[in-house]
Amino acid sequence: VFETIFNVERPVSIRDHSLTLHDGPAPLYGGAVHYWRLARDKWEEILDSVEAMGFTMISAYVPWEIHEIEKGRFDFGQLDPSKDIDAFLSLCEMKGFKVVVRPGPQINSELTWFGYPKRILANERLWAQGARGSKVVLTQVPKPIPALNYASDEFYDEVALWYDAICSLLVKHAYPQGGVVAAQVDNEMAYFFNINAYACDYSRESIAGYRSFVLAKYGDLAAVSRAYSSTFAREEDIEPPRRFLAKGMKSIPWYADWSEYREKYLVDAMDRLAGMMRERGLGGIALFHNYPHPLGPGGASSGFTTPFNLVALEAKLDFAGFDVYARKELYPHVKTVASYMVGSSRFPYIPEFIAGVWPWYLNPGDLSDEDFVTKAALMHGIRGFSRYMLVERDRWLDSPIRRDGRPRPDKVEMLARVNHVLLSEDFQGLRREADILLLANREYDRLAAASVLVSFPGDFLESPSGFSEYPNALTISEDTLGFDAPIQLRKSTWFTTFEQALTLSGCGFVLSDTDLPPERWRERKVIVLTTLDYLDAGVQQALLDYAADGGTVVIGPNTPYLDSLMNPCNLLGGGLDGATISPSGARVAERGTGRIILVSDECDVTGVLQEACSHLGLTKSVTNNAALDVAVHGRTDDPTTKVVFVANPTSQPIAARVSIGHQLGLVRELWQRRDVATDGAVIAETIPPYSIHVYSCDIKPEGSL
Amino acid sequence: MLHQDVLMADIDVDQWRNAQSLLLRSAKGCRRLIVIHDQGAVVKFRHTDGVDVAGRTGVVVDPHALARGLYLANESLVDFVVVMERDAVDRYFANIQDAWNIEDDVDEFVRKTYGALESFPDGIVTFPGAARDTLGLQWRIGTSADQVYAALRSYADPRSSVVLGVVSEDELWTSLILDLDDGYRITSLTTADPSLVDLRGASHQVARTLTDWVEAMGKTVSLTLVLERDVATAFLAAAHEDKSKILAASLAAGSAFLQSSRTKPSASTEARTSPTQQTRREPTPAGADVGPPAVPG
Repeated sequence: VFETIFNVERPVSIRDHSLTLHDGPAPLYGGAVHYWRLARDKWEEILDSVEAMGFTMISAYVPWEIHEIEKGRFDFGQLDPSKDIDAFLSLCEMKGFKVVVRPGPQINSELTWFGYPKRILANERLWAQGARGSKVVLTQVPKPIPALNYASDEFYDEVALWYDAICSLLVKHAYPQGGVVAAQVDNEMAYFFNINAYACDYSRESIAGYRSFVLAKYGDLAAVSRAYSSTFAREEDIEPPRRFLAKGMKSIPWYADWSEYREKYLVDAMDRLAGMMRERGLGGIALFHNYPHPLGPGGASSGFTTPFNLVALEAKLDFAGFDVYARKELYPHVKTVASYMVGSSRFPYIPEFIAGVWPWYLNPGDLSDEDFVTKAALMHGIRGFSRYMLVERDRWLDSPIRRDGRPRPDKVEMLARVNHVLLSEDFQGLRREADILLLANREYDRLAAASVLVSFPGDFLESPSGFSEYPNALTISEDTLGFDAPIQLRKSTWFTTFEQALTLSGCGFVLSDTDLPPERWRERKVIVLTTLDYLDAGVQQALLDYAADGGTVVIGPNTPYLDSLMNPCNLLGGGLDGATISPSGARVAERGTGRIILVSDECDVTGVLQEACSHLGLTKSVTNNAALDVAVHGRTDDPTTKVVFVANPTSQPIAARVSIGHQLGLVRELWQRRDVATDGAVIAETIPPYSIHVYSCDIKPEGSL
Repeated sequence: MLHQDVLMADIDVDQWRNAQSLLLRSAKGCRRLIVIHDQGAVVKFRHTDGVDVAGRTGVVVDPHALARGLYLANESLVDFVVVMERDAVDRYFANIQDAWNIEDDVDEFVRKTYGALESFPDGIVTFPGAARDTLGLQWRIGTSADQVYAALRSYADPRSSVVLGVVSEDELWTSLILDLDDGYRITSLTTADPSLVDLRGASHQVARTLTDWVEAMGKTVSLTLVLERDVATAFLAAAHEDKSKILAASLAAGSAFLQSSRTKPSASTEARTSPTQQTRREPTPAGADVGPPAVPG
């Protein structure tokens, strides 16, 4: 699919991490306007207000729930003028906006039925199933709804009726005829927030898909039997796990495969819907998807992987992103999500980016949260976004424009300033400087996801379980499964240790996971990965190859001695033959033109990484306070300019002293539009609590310090 | 209680945040000691903050005694202890999902959800307090949902609006403006809009301004209740049977304002006349089924 869809000349494409039209990159700095919730005679005034804030794009949600009158019959303005999507898109085009459409089938939008006609949710043949055969229900406001079965052919037959109607309208507005440059496929597909591995989907169709998946993965029943240490006479004998009961390492493949299948289920569903959109004429524009805001507030450090698989999804769509709704106290979370998108996505774009909140968001933030989180996302390399919501409406509060069209001046000013800086300073031309790639180990994350001790459904209020839907130390089994320590827990400790040590190192790094194709690892000079007792043989070999080609691989705490099927496999360990002990305590082996470094003790990680960075001569920033975080962006066409973000993610002011490894000329703070005096090496300013300064720095030709 | 097409619009975020802090308690925000066991064999024993606690055990014999003992042994470290049996938890969640039907409003479904915890008296155990009153998101209103509905029917008219407010430092701190239909379902839920109306002054001044502002929009207000913040906190924290006394004392002291179309005029309540005037009926005693909230308000 990738080859046929993406390697042909299309009106809209993703190039060099930008959405690109015939005349070059198109900045996507936009936001959502729900036309059907606004009086038709307010549309123009509201779009003028959006334009005045400097937004370049309108995100138009198109709800099946609202447009369907009865099965197969729709109102696109013939009965209710506010439902005239054709007129709304024409108006957006007249105002010069690019448009991103989101025709579902699911769009949530805080609609009573999540964007589906009620009849779809009422059809029990379309329901997903829990591990015990139960319904699967998302508690949302004002009506709890069932999770739907996205493996059901009947579901796609229903969607086809909707797509037939809406796509024929959207095609008329697709670029280059019109302003629609992208379409979002469905919305926040995450089993209706049933992240828990055993929450769903155990429907007949899903289980059939699971069996096909494992047979395709292993080849035949005999191979599946060997992988699962079992004996399957027929395909129907293969059953998915329904709760975590593993007692030894040999059962890991069975559980981990269920997690992997849950990723595939979502990817396949989006692929099928995207295919239906292409069949209906939308193949020339970019098709993308938004995974939901991952991790949960304060959640697991690598919860951006399973059941999500951004890399696999981008093999089917043009790009994929994560939505972000966070308060300023969750800076590490925003950093993690943004860094992951920048390290993994073809186009790091936030499809829903906080601008106001839904009413059942507990303890909503304020302007200062949105200002800080915006800068944090840009700091870590986000290149486009859609604000959700630009215009307030039913079941949404605190947007920059009120329902009656009146602005909230402070929010309008903040958002307008963001857009002004992005456009006037050509942020499209900036690139996050990051020589290091920290990979989450997706294999271990899959085990962690499958090792949850209890199963509970999605809940927009708060689950009575009290647990995060993302697996963490409160819910994951502590069984060692025959190893020295539980891999499903230890992997998080080591990932966090690596992440913190890299932050301290001052060297730029981004995140991805082990499903990122190894050829893309070569965009970076260093790969850092947690390795425990087992690791896929292909990943082990790829790490060796990366080092042989000149890269530096930092792993720890063990070299794996097993592969994913728990068969002996010591490829990576063999790569350390002849290793010497470094001053910081690591085992270091030369391999080809690169190196493999094994750090076994958590206490040594900071020193080992600093040593590795110094050995490579990587440029690094230096601060006088470990609480500060720094990110440097450069321009590929102009090495004499850098943009430097300095974040204070604490509740106290910090008198900061920051250097970036270059002689500095003129330094200017972009947000406050003021020049900053320096001694030519150090930026010295007090950074207020929860704030980020953004400096444009001229780099003196003398070069590095 | 919520109409399926409830309008939740024009809500002031500061007032909304304040209302949440006044009315809701999140168990997720509590310090908890979590014990998960598999038919008596402990498979998880962990404090939410990862701190060491006293009383670690590998076996659960009596989950109630264990929860109580662990709480007493770690009282300074935990807000509550929860002891969960794996199979019971899985069955509980399967059962509540199977009990869903598409006509359920969220508050009906959530009440069923929390009520169902009582079907697992040994499988999902908390201390202090029963699981249904402790876990998840809970109203901090000191009374049952049924009593709230009963009070609403006593004080407010169907097809009318209800204005609730809290004043702090001579300024409206939070408000809820509810429109009710024939069956007392909420068809609209909003707050006062500080950009449109000046809501400074003592509780009685704010109450009048707020009521006039709502009625100027063509609505009929049948109940206005505005309290000073300390009164609101005490009123909500009080047991159901004590609420009337607190309200009466506050009305007499001028730190509360109550106006109901169903209340006889009095100096303390400053009630206005209404075609449907009735003698105020006291709410019935508190029920045992304090459920969690569906949404703030």
